[in-house]
Order: sequence, then structure tokens, then C-alpha cells
Amino acid sequence: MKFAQEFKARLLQDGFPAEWVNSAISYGQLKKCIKRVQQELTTLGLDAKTLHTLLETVEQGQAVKDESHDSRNTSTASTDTSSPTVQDKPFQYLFNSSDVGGKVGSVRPKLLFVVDAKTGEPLSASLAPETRNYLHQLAVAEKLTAVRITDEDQLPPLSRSSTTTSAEEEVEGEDGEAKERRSSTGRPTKLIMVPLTSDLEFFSVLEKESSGLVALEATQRTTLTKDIVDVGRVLGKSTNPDSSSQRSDLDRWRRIFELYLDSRIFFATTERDHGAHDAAKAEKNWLLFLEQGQKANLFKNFKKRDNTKALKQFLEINQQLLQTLKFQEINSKAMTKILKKFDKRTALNAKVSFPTFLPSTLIASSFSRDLTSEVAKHILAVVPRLDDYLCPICFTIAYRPIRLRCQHIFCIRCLIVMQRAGTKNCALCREETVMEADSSHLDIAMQNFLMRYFKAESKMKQRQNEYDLFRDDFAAPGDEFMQTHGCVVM
Amino acid sequence: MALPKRIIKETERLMAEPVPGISAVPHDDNLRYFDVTIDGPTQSPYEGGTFKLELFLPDDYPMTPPKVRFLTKIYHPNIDRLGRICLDVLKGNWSPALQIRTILLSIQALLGAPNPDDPLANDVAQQWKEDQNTAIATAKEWTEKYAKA
Repeated sequence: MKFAQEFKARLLQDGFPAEWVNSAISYGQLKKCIKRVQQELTTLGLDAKTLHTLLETVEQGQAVKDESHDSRNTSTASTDTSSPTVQDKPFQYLFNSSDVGGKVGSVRPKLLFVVDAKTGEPLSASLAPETRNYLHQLAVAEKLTAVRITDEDQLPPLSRSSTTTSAEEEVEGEDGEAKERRSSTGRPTKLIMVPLTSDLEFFSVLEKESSGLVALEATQRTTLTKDIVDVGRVLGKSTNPDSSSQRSDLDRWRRIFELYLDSRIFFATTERDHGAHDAAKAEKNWLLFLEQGQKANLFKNFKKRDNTKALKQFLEINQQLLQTLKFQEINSKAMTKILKKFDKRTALNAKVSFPTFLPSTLIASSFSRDLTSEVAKHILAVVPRLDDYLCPICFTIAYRPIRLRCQHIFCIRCLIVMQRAGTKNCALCREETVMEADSSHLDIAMQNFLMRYFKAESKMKQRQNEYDLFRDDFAAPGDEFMQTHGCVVM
Repeated sequence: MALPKRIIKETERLMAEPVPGISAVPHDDNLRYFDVTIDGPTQSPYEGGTFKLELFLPDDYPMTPPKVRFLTKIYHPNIDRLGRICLDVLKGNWSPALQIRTILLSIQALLGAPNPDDPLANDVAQQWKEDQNTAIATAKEWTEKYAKA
């Protein structure tokens, strides 16, 4: 009851478009549907309590059987218990896909009861007489047996014995025949279908709605991906580092994206907090990002109008991503809840078997993960980040970049220090590539790239390198020089 | 001497995104000296214990490895009575691309996987090899006695 209201309220209040709200899981309608299934089952004497008892009886019987087998002969026990759940369940609730194409309406729930193959008698004894009668009639109708249902109800004492006692009997045939299954009592059994109508309705609605949601997600995915590519394209054009007027816009974007990545909105990669975030956390981090960006005046004063527009679009894309995540989350919660309710009211245990028919996208929320990686690929990558071009030893920009034979890049300063210290192995892969490096290992393309995109940082690093080299070459040996030559200012 | 950018960055990240079960805090008066704690790994004899260590970054760090030592008494075949640690990455296998956080993670892993074939504390290693159950029991006892505040 509580969730139904929460669901409804969130659908209305979270600002989803009307089209989305219409394709949400119709929780209320499905709940009514469950009620009808429940009524239908109760009229047949198969209410939740009865079905529960049936299952429990079998489980107990199974336990007793296992014990008795262990004491007698372990080898038969191992062959026998291979698939006890299928063989000994008094009924099964399955979903058959009648259409291989997997179109809407292809999922058909089936309630199957185990009956004696010859007499058509149901094997489960704890059922009410009317229910047994009904099942028997079904069996007869399906021409499983020629035995007419007259007064046999009192007749066969064997089939009336409870499953618990019958399970204790010795098992004869382990080789279950293809058509005729054998129960644990060794009697050939068959499955008959109990026709239900409202459960079909329930699952049809559920299936239709979930595929509707999947379709909606697919549309959203396509639109957003297109938007992402668009923004990336605009960004590529309007952030040319060679033009002085655009360089300040480039810096602004860089700061925005640094903040964006540091905010870890949809996922995080730190040790303590990694993986995809749920909608609540994503929203919190998103709002924090907006707040900090505003405070730092990042979202205003672009020089080029294209950039102002692109930023608006970039923020809109993220907003949409967040909304989709929220919508998905609440719907998949509604789905879980309604199936749980169905099982609680009917004891048919559909929650386990039903979702296998659903497209996996609805269950695993790969949506935000996929799209944030699109954002990273098309948008964030347009503006290079300093963090990606640091020397792994000194943690400053890898200028000038020396690329070793093993392809790892270090700044020239750290390479010189390594060579002077006699460190032979690459700091990243331990391959012996350090000593062979010389001026031919300078990565010119990378050097130009760094100078283009990180001019200030590169220049500063260059000055520091020169200073360090000077100190190496002159200061320390210089002391020696002064000592050996006695050149002392008196 | 000014603190190298590398050390500043490492410290910042250690503070902002600490490793679960590990803390490292620099001294105010010497930013190259860290007070470290490592939680004993789960399902190891050190589970539930918090071990104190000291870590020092020498002048030529990261060209040379940090110096790390256990301050809390610990019964472990690769850690001696003075708290010195026998770990390849702290010695010959050090690489300047390794960091404080990776080294501390290695030490935490060493607690989870003692290696008596490459011992530092000979008596402990021998005990570990001859009668592992007793050795583990002693390690648990020491954890209880010394590593719980």
C-alpha cells in the first residue's frame, strides 16, 4: 500500500514527461489483477496457504528421503537426488515462450500439476477433495486416462497416502522416461495444465509494459547519444588552442570538466566508493557539481556563443541522464515489488522464473554507465586533461616527453635522474629500457601536443628542468671544483 | 628544502581518498614523516587488529623507496622484532612509479599472505613451517594483546 502511493507520487513529482509516466508500470492495475488471480485460485481450492503447505510437505518428505537413502546406500542416493526439485514438486509454475521471436504477448504462464499417469489422480494428498476432483477431471478431459471419475475418490488408498509417507518407499525406476515422469514413489506421473485466465492478463500487462520501458530506454539512448556526439563536435570546433580568443574558453571547459569528473556524478572509481551510483547519490553529486560550478563562475562568460550553447546542451544531457536513471530505478523497483506481491498472494513463486524473459537492460542499469562513457569519449576527450599527461614519477607534466622502447613516457628530467642513478628498468613495466634512451627517444608529436594544449604548464616545467640540470652539472661538482683548485675568494 | 610536488600530490590524495583500512597522516613539523595505521585483513590471524607503522620519505624519494617499519608488535614471518619488513618492493623491486598508497596496500596484503619461505624473523618462520596452527594461534594472541587499543 505504501509503495503504491510512493510510486504514484514520484511519477508525478519528479517532473517526468507525460509520455514516460504513461509507460510506467501500472502498479495499481496489476495489484487488482493479482486479486483476481487470488480469487481464481481460491475457487479452485488452490489458495496461497494450500500451495505453501504442499511445497513444505514435499520439502520435508525430501529431507526424510535423503536421510533414509544415506543410511542404506549412498550410491543410489547420489543418482536419485540429482533433480529432486523437478521430480517431486507437486506443481510447477512455468513460463513458456510460444513465440521464438520474443514479441509482446509471447510469455505464457502455466500452472502444471503432477498427476498419476494411469489414473489421472493428483499425487498431492493434502488438497481438498473438491480440488482433487477438479484436477482429476482436468486430467480426464485431457484424455490422460480412460478412468471415469465416479466414486473412486474413496477407492485407491495408495494415492491418498500423503507424499511424506510415499516418499519413504523405495525408489525403483531412476531412469525417468521421456514422456512419463516418475515421481519419487516410482509411479509414472504426468503434468496437467490448470487453466487460469487472470494470471495471463497479469503477466501480459507486465511484459508489455516492460518492453515498453525498454523501447523508451532505447529511444532515450539514441537521442542522448546523438546529442552527445553533437556537443562533442561543436566543442572540437570552438576550442582551438591555436587561437588566442578561444584559448580562454578551452581553459574554462577544462575547469568545468575537471570539476565534473571530480564530482563523480554517475559513478566513481576510488577504492572506497566505486561502481555506478544509484539515482539518489547521482542527484546529490549532480547538484553539488552545479553549485560549485556556479560559485566558481564557470558557467558564464564564454567568449564564443557556440560554447555557451554547447554548455547548455551538456548540462541538459546530464539532466536527462539523471531523469532516466531515476525513472528506470523506480520502475524496476515497482516490478520487483509487484512480483513479490504476486508470489505472496499466490505462492506460485513467479519472481524467480519470470524475469528471465525480460530484456536484461531493464534489470542491469547499464544505461547510465554506457552513456557516461559516451560522454567521456565524445565530449570530455575533446578537452585534454593535464592528469592524463603527467610523468608517473614526478607527477608534473611529462615535458619534454621521452618515450622508451616499452612505450612508457617519462619527463626528460626523471629519465636523466634514473640514468644517473643506474636504474635500468622502466618504472612502469620493469623492462630494461632506461639506459638505452637518448635524444632520439624524444616524442616530438607529443611534445608539440603538450605545448599546444598546456602551454603554460610546459613552459614552466621546461624552466624547472633547466634549473635542475644546471644545479646537477654545476652546483654540486662546482663545490668539488672549488675545493680541488683552491679557488677561494679571500 | 621545498617539498617536491610529487609528495604534496600524494599526500593530498591520501587525505582526500583514503584507502579502506589504511590511514597515513604526515607530521606537521616534518611532511616526509607519516603516522600510518593498517587494519588486519579479514580472515587472517590479524583480523580485528589495528597496526601502527611509521613511514619516512628519504630525500631522493621516489628514486629510493620509503622507509617503513611496524611500531606495533606483530607475530609474522616477514616482520622482525624491530618491526622491519621483508618485502621486495621496499627493497630491490622498488620502482619510482610506486607510491605510498601502493606500498601500504602491499604491506596489508603481506599480512594476509605470510611467506615463511622468505623469512626475516627466523624463529617465527620456522614455527610457521613446522606447526602452522600454533603459529597462527600465536599471531592471533599477539593481535589481541598488542593491536587492539
